Amino acid sequence: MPRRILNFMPRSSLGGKVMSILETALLFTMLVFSLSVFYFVNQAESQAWRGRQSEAARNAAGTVSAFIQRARDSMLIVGAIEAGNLVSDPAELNTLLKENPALLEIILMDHDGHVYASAFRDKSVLANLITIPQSQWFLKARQGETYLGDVQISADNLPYLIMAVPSSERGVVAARVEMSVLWDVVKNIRFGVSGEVVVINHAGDIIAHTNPEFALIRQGILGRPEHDQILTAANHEWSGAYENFNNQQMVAASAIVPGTNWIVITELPNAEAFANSRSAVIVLGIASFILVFTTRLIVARSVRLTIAKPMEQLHDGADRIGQGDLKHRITSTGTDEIGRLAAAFNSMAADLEKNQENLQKAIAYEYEAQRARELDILLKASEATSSSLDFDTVMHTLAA
Amino acid sequence: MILSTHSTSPKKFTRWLAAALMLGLLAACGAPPTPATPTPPLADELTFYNWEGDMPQPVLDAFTAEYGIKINYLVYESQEEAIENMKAGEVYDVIVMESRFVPMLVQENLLAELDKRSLGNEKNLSANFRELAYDPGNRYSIPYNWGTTGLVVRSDLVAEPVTGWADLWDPRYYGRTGIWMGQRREVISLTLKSLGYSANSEVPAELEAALARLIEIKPYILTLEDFSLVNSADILANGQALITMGYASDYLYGHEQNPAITYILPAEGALLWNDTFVIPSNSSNKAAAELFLNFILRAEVSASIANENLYATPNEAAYPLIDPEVLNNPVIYPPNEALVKAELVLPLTPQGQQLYDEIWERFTNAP
Repeated sequence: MPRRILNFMPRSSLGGKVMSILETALLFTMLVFSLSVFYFVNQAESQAWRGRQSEAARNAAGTVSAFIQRARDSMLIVGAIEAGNLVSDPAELNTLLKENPALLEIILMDHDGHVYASAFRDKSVLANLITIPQSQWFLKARQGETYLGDVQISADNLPYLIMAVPSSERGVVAARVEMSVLWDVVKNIRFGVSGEVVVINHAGDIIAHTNPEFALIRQGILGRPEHDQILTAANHEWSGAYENFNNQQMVAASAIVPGTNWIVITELPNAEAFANSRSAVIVLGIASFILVFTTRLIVARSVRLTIAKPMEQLHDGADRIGQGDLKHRITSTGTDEIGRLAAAFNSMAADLEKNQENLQKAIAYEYEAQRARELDILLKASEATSSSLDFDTVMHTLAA
Repeated sequence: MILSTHSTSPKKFTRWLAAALMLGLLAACGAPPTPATPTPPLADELTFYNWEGDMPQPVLDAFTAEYGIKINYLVYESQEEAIENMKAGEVYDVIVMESRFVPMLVQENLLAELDKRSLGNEKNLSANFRELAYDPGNRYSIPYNWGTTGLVVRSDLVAEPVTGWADLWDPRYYGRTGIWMGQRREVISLTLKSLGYSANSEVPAELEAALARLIEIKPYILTLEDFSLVNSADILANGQALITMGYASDYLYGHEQNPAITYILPAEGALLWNDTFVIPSNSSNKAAAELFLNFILRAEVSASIANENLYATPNEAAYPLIDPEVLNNPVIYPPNEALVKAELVLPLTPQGQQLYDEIWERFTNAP
């Protein structure tokens, strides 16, 4: 049915041409309108997600920073205690481990790396004279720096890192910090429906991820464009788009974790970040389709009633009149150009009819007059022949 | 009725516009995924450059059996020789290298950075072997084993208990003490320690003193390489040597032959060392080399190496699989108390390296 309705007027017909022009204008208007709406919705949404995600990244960075700070505070407490007291009462270190569940091991060393005291939750690892003097964490902390190592994965898939701070007696306090606590923190940071949080170090190694598998398999973003962009951004605060490890288009924002060289990245799938734009596109698309289709139906019917049908009637009427049916009149109630044209045709037909009647009357009159003249001549001839048989006299009488 | 001819251009145009309206906007919301990069095929053979006898053959055979990659085992006589060959452009795929050389090799771009995604078994390494100063994060090297350098002594034949490096200079033992000439840096360092200096001293006067001390015993010292030994056990067991610089394995193999062979951590302080695996930057078989390293890092493989070589492994996942007699042997895994004066042999500055090279040359040229 719709096909029949839509196709009742060929494109080369007047109605068809009118419809084509109308459709083109309508579609062009809808395209411009839709693009404008999409652009503004997209811009507004882009601004919105940048703001939301930057805030989420800063919040996540704050959470991570607080976690690190708690571990650092515990170590600073140990560093402030006189070494002799810890040697005589190492239980203080065990108490500290109980108070901070993230600490797996903590040791206090002198300037040469000799261990004053140590405590551990799982096993003694750091208090090893083979490795202490050559450990990066020992050498850095001995120089007065706070050391925060990369996240490592143990043989039993436990994430940890090594931290070290200088002690008050030119020594070093070092600790192994269990990072599954951080992983839990990161895992529980929520924004949006499917937003994810990634913590990386400067080298691009993933330290923590909403999906811990990425940290476990040593996935990194080194060499990816977003890594370079993040590192070169002022204060590492960046926002942009990239394709994640699952080939999913993401929008993301980053923030530095205070007190570390770590960077938090919050990422959100494009589909979610631009859900409103996508909805607007779909709604606009459907609305445009319905609008164009409905408008076309209405306009087609209107064109059919106001242009095509009267034109057909005009065409049929002209045909009949042309064929001599001067009594035929074109039915048209309109006052538009077609109506006036129909009226003109009707008027022409009426005039032709009237002229034809007058002509017929004139012909009839002439015929009667001719006939009277002929009868008169016959009468005169009869009378003449009855009064004289002389031919010349008769002809003279008839000629008179 | 109005007649017409068929015309398509306006229809095409409106269809195009409709398509642009529907598809053009939707296309703005997504992009197709990037195709994955294909993985290149692995090599058929790896060239492995190491000390003689430093890797059990069954381990190499197991790797070949599992992956079909043959191991071409090449032997060097000293680390310096290996480095000279690397610098000369010789191509190796995996090299066992002392940690002290790693910074210099990285500096000179002679090492390939490791792809940690191919080294999942690196997690088996103990936490204290992950962030060592010579290669933080093990980006260019994988710790292989570690140990002490001390004195292996035939205790039943020495005049009195041997306690320190200085005993190598005891005239009573002239002609029956030995050093590994392939360990030039350690020989200089132990001499420095015998004089009470740091094993890593770069002070010219101290190095001159060490040279003089070395030259003093040169006529009387045994060069262990001359015996074509992998360890000094045999010549200690048969009494040719009484005291040699040596390692845990020298002692353990020797002790099996003669229980009188003991191992001494010198009173002046033992030397500490780490061996690592590195992949040279000119290796074209990096993927296969990393596969090999990941194989070595397996707990059971590291344990079998540790049980055979009798060196301490940094692979903590291997500990439960190591023979308890090995794991609890204080010669192999010395306690902290025994290492208080021990000193790690550290990388030298370029100037220091030059000094050591000169000292060594003068020593070898001395009569």
